[in-house]
Amino acid sequence: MRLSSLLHLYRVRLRARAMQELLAVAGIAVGVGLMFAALVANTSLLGAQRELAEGTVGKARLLVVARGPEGLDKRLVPKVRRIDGVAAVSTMLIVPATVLGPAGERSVLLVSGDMRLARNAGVLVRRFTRQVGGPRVLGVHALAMTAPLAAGLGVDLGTVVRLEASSHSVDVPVGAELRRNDYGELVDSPFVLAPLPFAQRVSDMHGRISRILLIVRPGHEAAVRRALRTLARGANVERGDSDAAAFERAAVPMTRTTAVFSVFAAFIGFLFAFTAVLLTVPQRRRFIADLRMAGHEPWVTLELLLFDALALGVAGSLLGLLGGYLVIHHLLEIVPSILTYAFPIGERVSVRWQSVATAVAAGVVAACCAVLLPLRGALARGGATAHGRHSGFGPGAGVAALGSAALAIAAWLIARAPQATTLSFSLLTASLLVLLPSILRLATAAFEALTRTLRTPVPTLASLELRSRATRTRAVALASTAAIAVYATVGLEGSHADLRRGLLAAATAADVNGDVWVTFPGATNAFATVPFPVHAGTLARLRAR
Amino acid sequence: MLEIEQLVKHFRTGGADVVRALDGLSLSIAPDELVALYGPSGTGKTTLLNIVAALLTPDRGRVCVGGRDVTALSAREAARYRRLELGYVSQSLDLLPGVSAIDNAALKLFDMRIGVREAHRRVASLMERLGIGGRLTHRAEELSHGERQRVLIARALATGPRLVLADEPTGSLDTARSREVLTLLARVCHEDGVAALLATHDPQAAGFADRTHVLQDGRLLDPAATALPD
Repeated sequence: MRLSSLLHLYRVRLRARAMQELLAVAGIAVGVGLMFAALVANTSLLGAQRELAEGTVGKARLLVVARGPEGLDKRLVPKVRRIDGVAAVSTMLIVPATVLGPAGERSVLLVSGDMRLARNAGVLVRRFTRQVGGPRVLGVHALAMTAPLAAGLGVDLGTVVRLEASSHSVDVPVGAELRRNDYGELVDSPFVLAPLPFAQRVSDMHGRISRILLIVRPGHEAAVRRALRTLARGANVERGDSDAAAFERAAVPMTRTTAVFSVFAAFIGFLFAFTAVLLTVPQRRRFIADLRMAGHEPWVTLELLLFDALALGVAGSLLGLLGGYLVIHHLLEIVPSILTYAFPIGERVSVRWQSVATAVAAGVVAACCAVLLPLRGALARGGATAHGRHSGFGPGAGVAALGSAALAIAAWLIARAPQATTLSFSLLTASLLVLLPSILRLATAAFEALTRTLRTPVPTLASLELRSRATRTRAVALASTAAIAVYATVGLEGSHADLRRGLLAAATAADVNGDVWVTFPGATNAFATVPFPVHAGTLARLRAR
Repeated sequence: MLEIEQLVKHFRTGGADVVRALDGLSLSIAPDELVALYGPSGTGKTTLLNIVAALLTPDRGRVCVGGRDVTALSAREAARYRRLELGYVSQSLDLLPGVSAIDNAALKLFDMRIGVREAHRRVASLMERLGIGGRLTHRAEELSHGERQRVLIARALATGPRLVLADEPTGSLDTARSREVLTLLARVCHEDGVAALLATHDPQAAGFADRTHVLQDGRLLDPAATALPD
């Protein structure tokens, strides 16, 4: 069919069902928006940490990381450099700190490194040193901070800020600003860069470093790893991406939450859109019958309905993307506060094309399913004519058996493989959609049998209402939504309970010997303190209280 | 023009019950002939029309239109046959809601690669001839029953078919409107040389046909032995 004819037919038919179409668009928009927000929250959370880790570590395949806050002795570095298979070595000191400016204060990571880091490190350090004039910048006593951080603190280039780390509090100028044009979304991560000697001084880490980065020649990784274990007994030998991996492990409950939320949002949106589009089913069924009687070939009918679905899906999806973006920026907490105590995570939003494509595809598929529903069985010869009957609503025995099997597998996955949340969730949803119509039909039959002897028309009218297509559709939608909400709540609560139990155990183990903790200024996490000198007089005053 | 030979169509209604909708029916219609098929509801009239329209396949027998057996057509051929060679006027007066009379009438033409404007031009002259030229842009809801039926007739005739099937076309109309519609149908049939098969349970409607057959239990009764009620 000509595009002009398609557009004309769509436009003239739209007038009669504008309100229903608007409802359907709204339904799809809600689903797409929620799903998009959940996906973006997930990728933002994990992507920010991984980019920061890769931005600092760069090409390093192995890391030697200090086990405690006292760090590593810098004299270890020449020995590491001499290991066969090591191509390059650089050192870093990363300590928690607080930066105070005129407009407020922020907890950050104070990142510093030696001259070699400028060549071997990740894009963050390399771009920074290139931008401000080569490796010698690491010898300057000034801070480099991200533009959003500087804006948050109310400082500009050259402004003196206060830096608190360990027991020290020093004033230091802002020597460079890292801008989004050069560093992308990395600038949303909360860190400052400083020269190594300066960072060692303010953090009481003289002659100490927190990690050694190694670039290893191909094929030597295992041998280097073995040699490091012997050489650096007081340190952990880890993969270059260990920080990001640790964060991903810690964020499992959150990522599981967002995964479930994505599916849940998609399902809710689908049901909303589906129910809204069902309002137009009689009209579309009439239209299909008219097209058939008028002699239009099946693919023309399909073409017309797909055009309907595409218009509906694209409009709903675009609206949903807009809504989702607003939700992300104004309503969602991208970074759970519980994780900010242990990881340097910025409030950045990372919108990837995969998230957009997934959300839009879900919207269009929902629209296609709902719009093409009246096509079921309508095009076959001998199928429903303009005034013909429609086949029953419930599934056959084979489909019911498949639904039961899917339910059993979902139950097994929930019990035995809780990490497979998305799969179990999808199976549960599919099985419910397949089985609920049969269950409702059985319940209706049981109701009829039980009320057969009553001498009142009320049960008969009620069972007629129960048997109606609209009631069953609503009942299936409501029951599925409720069942999935219960499952999602139980699953999410389980994940959060695991996290809480773990944190509680760690906290109990740490503070079993003390009622009050004293930390250095600016420390936001009592479990990640670094050593700091305490005067004897201070301790005596504390004891006296 | 239309040759129906020994047509059989049975339906199972659950269990061993069988409804013999058509049981060896034979009939032929010449071009420009209007034939009425009279019988009460449930005697197989709509089944026969659906088989002639290639919407249903018979259990046995043949339906030849212009010498071609339409019961053996593929789905695509059947659709093309319905669009180009057949006009079908149903008893329902349902037009596409919210859509103008001219768009409703031009529904068959939208897939003919002629564009919307040309489709409107072709169908407008037909609607003029059917007496609804002044109602082209009125929406379906704004038309009277008689006007809706005329729009459906215009839709059926839009592609210049050789055969028109009309299933209770006056079922929803009052006597005056029925008379108008049937007169119109007979005139188009004779003027344009179109063969028409009219299924009706209204003896008044059957009176407009050139020939009337009575359908009972899936068979045509002997015309000489039957008389239509007044």
